[in-house]
Amino acid sequence: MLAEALAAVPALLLLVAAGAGLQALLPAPLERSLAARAGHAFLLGAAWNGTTSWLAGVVFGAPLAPGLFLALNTAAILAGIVAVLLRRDAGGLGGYRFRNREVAWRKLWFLPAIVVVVSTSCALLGDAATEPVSDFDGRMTWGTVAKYLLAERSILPEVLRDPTSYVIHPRYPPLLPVTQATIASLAGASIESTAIRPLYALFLPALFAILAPAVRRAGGSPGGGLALLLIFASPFPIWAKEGGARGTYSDLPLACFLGAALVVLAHPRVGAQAWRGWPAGLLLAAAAGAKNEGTALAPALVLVALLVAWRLGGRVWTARRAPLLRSALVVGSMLALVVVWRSEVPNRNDEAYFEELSPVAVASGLVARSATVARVAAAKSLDVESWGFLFWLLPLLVAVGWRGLRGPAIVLAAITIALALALALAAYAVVPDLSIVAVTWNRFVIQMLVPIALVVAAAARGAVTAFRSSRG
Amino acid sequence: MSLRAGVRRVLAGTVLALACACGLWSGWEALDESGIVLEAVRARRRVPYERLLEGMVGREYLASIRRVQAQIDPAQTIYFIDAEERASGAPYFALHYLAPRRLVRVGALRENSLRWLRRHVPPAVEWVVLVDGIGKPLRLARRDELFEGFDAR
Repeated sequence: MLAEALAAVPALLLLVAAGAGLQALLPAPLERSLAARAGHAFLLGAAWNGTTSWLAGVVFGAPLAPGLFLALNTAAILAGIVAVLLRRDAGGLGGYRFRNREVAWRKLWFLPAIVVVVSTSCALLGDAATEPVSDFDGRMTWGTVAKYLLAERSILPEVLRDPTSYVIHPRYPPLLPVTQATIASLAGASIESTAIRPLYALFLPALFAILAPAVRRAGGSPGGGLALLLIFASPFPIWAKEGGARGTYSDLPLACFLGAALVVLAHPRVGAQAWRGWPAGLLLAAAAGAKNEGTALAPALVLVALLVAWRLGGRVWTARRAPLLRSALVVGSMLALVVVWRSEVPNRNDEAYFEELSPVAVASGLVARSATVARVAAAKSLDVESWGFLFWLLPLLVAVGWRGLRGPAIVLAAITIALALALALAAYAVVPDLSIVAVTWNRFVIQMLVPIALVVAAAARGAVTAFRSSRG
Repeated sequence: MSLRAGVRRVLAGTVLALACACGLWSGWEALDESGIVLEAVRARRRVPYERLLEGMVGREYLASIRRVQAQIDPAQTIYFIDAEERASGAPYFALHYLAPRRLVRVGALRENSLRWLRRHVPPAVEWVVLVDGIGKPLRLARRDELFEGFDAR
């Protein structure tokens, strides 16, 4: 059993290597610290593997076989090696050198969060390597689709295309099932085996790695360290099987892809480095391919960010336009791929939230249900067993540190949170059975983890400033 | 220091101290939980996969799944009928364990479902799986056996 999990290690490393290859194509690294680069590499590799395999399957009918996965990931690795060699010939590695030894999490403020995330990640990986998939949606939906893809070696297996076949949520975007199929086929393991869960467990440390420098920029060392501790000591994202790193739901991967894109687009140097739009676009494309919410949120985030930048005009528009347009191009292509793929898959056994969506239905549903939704959402968010004290402290931190809530990162975080909340409320307004709120609310919150962390960090910075500046 | 600045300082300091204390307490809890999980990992390190699965889904459930897996080829389609006559019964877990066999849901064990079965399913299909409300395969039934019961009514 442990052997199957270990067999998945080379496949997981292949994804990281592919992501590192893609990073090497960029003129400068996305982050300076090695851990953050590794986190971005894992997410970029998973995004690359999932989106390009999907594209090759739909456009060229390429079979989802080990050969395809190896070829696509090797191409990314080789491209990165060539880029590094050319850069060396041209006179140095530029930004790829470790010029800055001031790594964020070496700061003392980050130490408690680092201890927690290292300990929980070790426990999670051990758990993942020794226990089969046991979460509800993982078995019912995601793993089952992965089995179908693997059995027919096709992104459009007959079982999805045949309306009489019994499949739950057949139109759910299959990026994560493709990734499961990649790991299983390269490891020579089955989807039911223990080779699959380590993939999902890795998303937690990856999230920490990409978030650490971003929260430090947003909240300084004390604010960033506090935000990371409050988020990564919350029980739900770590231990929950239904949405957390212990299960095989797509919520945490979606949070990582969406959040990493946000981190890249909110980077202070994004104006001078418009190329950042490409990796952000790839990560957003993966978010669009990971889950229905991502299919709506990824393009909405780019569009709203573009609109806000255009409305603000001047230097903001000049600096943000180019990277956002690059991201929009990649996300637009991904949406076209999703639409083409879905056109072949008749929908059935699905809540069909978005097919029922009309402004009138949403408005009347909101009027009738908002009190119930607010009550359930508040109860779930304030449950210490799920979220620790995060949502008890967030309003207090915002109240005393609201002056810290400024800058492009916070604007993007606020846009993401607003869009995700609007999407959740729209779905809750039209869904036939309102008990779904209690089941899904925590998963919606997981999807917003990165923007929430940025807000907590910035508010904590504001509180620290308020404390220091009033010292007299 | 003005009164206002003093109040602001006390409030900010209190919230920050509270946040740090809560964060450290949650962190301690997370470390504790990690220890419990690692202990469980150590205990099940050498337990065979099949036994773990049995502990998770139940011995009887697993036995019924394995029986169907053994008798129906992965390339075959499985027709299944909700034997508890609850048309809403959702065979969630069976989907996972019986995949990649293609599943076609006939409906509840009622006359109209059998009529559908007779009309749409090729005579060559010999077996139909009877499942309960959550999709546990109760037994494999011969197609003719199902019709016999209803034809006799």
